[in-house]
Amino acid sequence: MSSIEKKPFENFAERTGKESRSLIYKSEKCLGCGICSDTCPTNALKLGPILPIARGLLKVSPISIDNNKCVLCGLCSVACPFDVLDLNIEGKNIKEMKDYPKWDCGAKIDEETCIYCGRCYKSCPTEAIYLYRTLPKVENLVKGETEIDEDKCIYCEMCKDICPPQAITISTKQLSKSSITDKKSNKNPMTISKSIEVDKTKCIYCGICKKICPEEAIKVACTTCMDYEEIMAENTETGHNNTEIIGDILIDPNKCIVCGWCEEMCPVDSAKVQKPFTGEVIMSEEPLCKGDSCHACQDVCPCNAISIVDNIAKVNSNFCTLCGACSKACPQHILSVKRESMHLTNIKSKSWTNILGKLIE
Amino acid sequence: MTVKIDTEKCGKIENCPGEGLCIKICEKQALVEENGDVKVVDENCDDCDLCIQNCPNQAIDKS
Repeated sequence: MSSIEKKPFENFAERTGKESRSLIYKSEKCLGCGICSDTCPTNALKLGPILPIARGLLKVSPISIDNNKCVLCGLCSVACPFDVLDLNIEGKNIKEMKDYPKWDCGAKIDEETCIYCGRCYKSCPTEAIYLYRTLPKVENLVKGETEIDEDKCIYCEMCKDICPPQAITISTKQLSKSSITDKKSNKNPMTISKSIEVDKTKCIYCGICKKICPEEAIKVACTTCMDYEEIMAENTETGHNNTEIIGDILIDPNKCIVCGWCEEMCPVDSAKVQKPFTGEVIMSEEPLCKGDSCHACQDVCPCNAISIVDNIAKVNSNFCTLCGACSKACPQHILSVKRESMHLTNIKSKSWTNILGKLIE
Repeated sequence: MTVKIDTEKCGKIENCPGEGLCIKICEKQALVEENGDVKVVDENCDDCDLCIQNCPNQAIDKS
């Protein structure tokens, strides 16, 4: 069992002839929830041991298929809200055809209002969010003047050592004439400091150097607050404001499982998640949850929506997609998913309405 | 209630399709290997039933 390696794409079943059909299973994205296997009218799909898989004890895909039973109807591909299965007819995905049902769910981040803080990116359980950002230059955010009186400076290097942005450099000159002599005597060559410089691109005009200088050789004037409006008005050659954070953010739909973490974490309401179902996960009180001994539900939850609090599993509905993996993994059978509605529309046939309708009851 | 292993269904660990999955999945050390067989350590068992649910041979039960 463990010798079968998990492949990103599996050709589950196909049929050629008058009309070619193929079923593709994207196992890397599969949540192991069993919605497809519950829906399959011919019992061709089987949900595997999801807990050992989630714990990395078995390296198999969560779903397996019995080719002799699959009739390539496509119900599984439509039932899966996470877009893990594709049925192609004549090479075309049925989800793109007008007569087949469609899920209205997904996650979006509004680029206009996003502040590129990265909270969504860090919390996404499937690493589906990509964030690229360029911060403005320090020198564009501050204004001021520094002046070092080299006649007073004794090159003690205390300003250099304490400077928080490491903006001060002191160049030195070698004093001893023969480096050979130094090598022989195994001594460091004698040096003397000769000039001091402040890097304008690094200096933040904090004034620490001035405070520490024993010779009062440094003058610092920070005008950042005074020149605030001027700083904010400066534009770069590319038309961006000098103080602007330039960024790009995107959600990879091939990885997103619409859990809701990004929406919950976003401080400016830029992330919006439309989940496939509404409803809740219900936990019965008997038998008792085994909490830390078991934590099967926590391990299989693809959304990081479950935590064990005071030795009892707690499902946070904000992050739950109601996939049902937890209820299948719970050995005590105390978790059940109650789905009230689903965002699956355009179901045209009566039999499909009946079968898909069983997802919510 | 104690966990019981049906030795006929279980066979030796070396023949287990899950390579001794019950031992790996139990975090209470209530299942241990002994001479190639699975042995139950009753005092460690927390009755979580993970082994029962996940045994590929359906060899574990409670009595």
